[in-house]
Amino acid sequence: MADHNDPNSVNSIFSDIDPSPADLYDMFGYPGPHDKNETVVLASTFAAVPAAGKLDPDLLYRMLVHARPRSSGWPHEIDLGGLERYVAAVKDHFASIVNPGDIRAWVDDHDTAHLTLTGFPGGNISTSFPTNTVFMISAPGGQEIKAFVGGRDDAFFNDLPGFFRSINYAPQYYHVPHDSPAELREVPIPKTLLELDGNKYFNYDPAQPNWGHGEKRDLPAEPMVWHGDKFAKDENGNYRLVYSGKDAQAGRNVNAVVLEIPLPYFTDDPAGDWVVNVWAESWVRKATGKVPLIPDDPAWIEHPFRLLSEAHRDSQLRDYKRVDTTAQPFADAALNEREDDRQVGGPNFMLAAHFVKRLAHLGWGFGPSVTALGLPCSFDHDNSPVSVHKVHRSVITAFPRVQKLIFQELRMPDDSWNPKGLDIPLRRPAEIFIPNLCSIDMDTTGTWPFGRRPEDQVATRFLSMFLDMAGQVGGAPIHIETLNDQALWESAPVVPKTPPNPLYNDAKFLEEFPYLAEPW
Amino acid sequence: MVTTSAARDGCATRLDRVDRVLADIRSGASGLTPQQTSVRLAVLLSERANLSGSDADAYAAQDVAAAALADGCRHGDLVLTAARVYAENHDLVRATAVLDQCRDDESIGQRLIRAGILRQRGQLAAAAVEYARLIHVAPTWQHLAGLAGVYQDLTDVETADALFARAADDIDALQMGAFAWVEVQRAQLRLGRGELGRAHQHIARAEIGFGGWRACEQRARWLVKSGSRTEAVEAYRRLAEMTGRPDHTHALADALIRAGRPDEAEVHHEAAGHGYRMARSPARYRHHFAEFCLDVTRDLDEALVLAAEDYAERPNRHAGQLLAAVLTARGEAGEARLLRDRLGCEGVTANARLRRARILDCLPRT
Repeated sequence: MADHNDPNSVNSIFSDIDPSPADLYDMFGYPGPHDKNETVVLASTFAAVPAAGKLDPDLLYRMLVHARPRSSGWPHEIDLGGLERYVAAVKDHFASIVNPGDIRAWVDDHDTAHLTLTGFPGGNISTSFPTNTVFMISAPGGQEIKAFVGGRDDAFFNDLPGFFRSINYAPQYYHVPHDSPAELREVPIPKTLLELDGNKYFNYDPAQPNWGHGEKRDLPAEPMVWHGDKFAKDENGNYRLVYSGKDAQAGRNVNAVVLEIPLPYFTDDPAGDWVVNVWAESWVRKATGKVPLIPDDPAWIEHPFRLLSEAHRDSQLRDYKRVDTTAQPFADAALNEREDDRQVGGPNFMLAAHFVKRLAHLGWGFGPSVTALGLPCSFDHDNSPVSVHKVHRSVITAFPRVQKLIFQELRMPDDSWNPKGLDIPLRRPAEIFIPNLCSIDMDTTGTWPFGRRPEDQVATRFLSMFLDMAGQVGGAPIHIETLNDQALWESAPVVPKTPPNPLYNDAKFLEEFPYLAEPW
Repeated sequence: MVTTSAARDGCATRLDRVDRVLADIRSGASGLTPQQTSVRLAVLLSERANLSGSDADAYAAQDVAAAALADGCRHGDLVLTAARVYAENHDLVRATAVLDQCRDDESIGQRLIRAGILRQRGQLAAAAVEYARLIHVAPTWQHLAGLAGVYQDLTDVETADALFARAADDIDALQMGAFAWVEVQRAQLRLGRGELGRAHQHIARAEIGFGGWRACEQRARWLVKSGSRTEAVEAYRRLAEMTGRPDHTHALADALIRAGRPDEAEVHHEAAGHGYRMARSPARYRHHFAEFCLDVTRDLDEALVLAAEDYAERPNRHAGQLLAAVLTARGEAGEARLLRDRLGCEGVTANARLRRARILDCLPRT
């Protein structure tokens, strides 16, 4: 789940929350396929509510876009001070962007999509067109823009229950109300990629194979805890992977806003601004926006500070409230813990300290699993023989554990991502997740982390951060696709012998716009 | 079960959806465990009661929840639903007992219900402090409206209205029922001060936004205040048909009397009295029944028993004023004065405590 089922307020995984059209799923962004015209493909997907191809007229979907030159690599020291300086620079950068380009899409009661693009050098656009159709727009500067708003197959393919099992996320397996305390969401049992010996609360149960795949149990009366000291092994000495490799999103649909836009529309300097940053937001209309305004309402008189916020300066956003944001896969689900107040969009620099502590928490869980499989680990877990449930309260104690993990360059499996053979620095987790942007390098194919293509298996690539990218497996260097290699799992002491997540989507992506497959 | 009017307003549409989900669950097609079925039924029936205003729905929710609790289920949704239904029925003893059974007494939902119980018990300063704490955790419309309700009880209309306005601003288009509820509260505030124009605007927003029985009830009150007696009768008639509740039948009869139609009123007063006596939960209509005995049957002994019981359970300003009115009607003016003085002192004390605590100054900016 790149960003499925979050934030908590719209998270339908909870037993008391209906699916919400405000629940953003994924933000895809990559260079278009046609070499002649350099275009950027942007696709924001979200819950198919009320139905695939039928959008809720009370929702507004937004993409914030900003083009910039490519940076020349990590500019700071590889230590905590370097991270602090990097975060400060990110903050300054966002402060310097007066108005990022703003794309907004919404529908009316007659299934007409309305689209505006403002703040771009290519000129402002405001147009309307039928949903579920490809529509061509001529920008004031002459560029041709393709647009689609409607239903599609869910382009995300992932073993969602496996991921939730790895973090002992109870709402996937139990009937947990949204209002429940945090320990009934992520249960305080060590996170792990391999099943823990005696973890009756989350280990696979052959008597109920669909548990967690649509079937849930009632919460046990007692607190869910684990006091074991080893990973579970079967009679053949194999560990059991918490993942199944099956696509939990197979056969599911989304609604989507898909655009293909020539790069010169985004920037006055297409030869220099070679990276396009984007994040997506969902906004829901306020109830007050649906009824006649009472002009002298004291809420407006007594709270003039509201005029300082973006939402109240903007005549359209004034009637909406922001609900969800997404850009990097797993930034919300894994790092933000889906907290409602962490839906801050791209400028997430204030969450940096939390990320360090959270990655350390994840590392104590996943790191020993990685080591048990015989793989070099990027997290320092003191050679712990089994996963540990440890919560770091301080960045000072967490940082040394995650230093290698967050600063290591994520190695690519081959050179296909860089078709022009340019000197493009590899990306590091620290700069991938701060700021929270889909950062599309137009000289690459846009495969993650140089953007995000629909065919990228990002869930498994995310896990690869816990591998030591300086290490080797079977004589070959480790890279972001190592865990997607079937040969690795064939030789590892683990069952099932499958990569954690499916390698392909259930429906074939299209060669032409809008690229995402037809809905089921 | 009673349904709302045939008009397809937001309330009716939501009611249709709840009924569809209820039918799915009852058919067994939803694949829920028996325990989860009980939880979902209780939650949905409670929502249905909220939408329909019907006693039958409220008791159905209460029965399902009570049975599941008796079977040992302590699911968070169930506990909250049961406690909320009991609290709305003014059965504060049972509401508190249900909350006390739950292992998680720190959840936001539980704290919100406990704050509401404090408010019903007249402990306004304590309720305000708890609502303010909840607002600091999350400035949601429920928490803001809860604090607004405290100021409403303290008759601080402007503060209450400002807080309700902030609450309304937090509500989105997927929660129009909540929005209509807040608008009805704001209309009631304005109506209490005789600001008919302002009250009308809020009622109209509730009607346009969602409709339902609460908006209808507030419209009827507004029509009474504005002197439109015939229209008020029709509004109350619609309301009584929507919900079938004895307090609404009582209000219809009173409206008929105000309209100079006492002969027509009699049958509705009889029906209301019967409804009060037959109510399954005595606490639910105790204060209405006390008013009925005071104003309609003039059975002051029964009125005293009912008003005293109500005040014992919920020693708040409204219950106290009703008891004082009964005492006055019985010629016990000294007792009534003492009680009114105490209510006044308590209000002043609560106000002073809230000012000292600087509750409003410390609220997070939303």
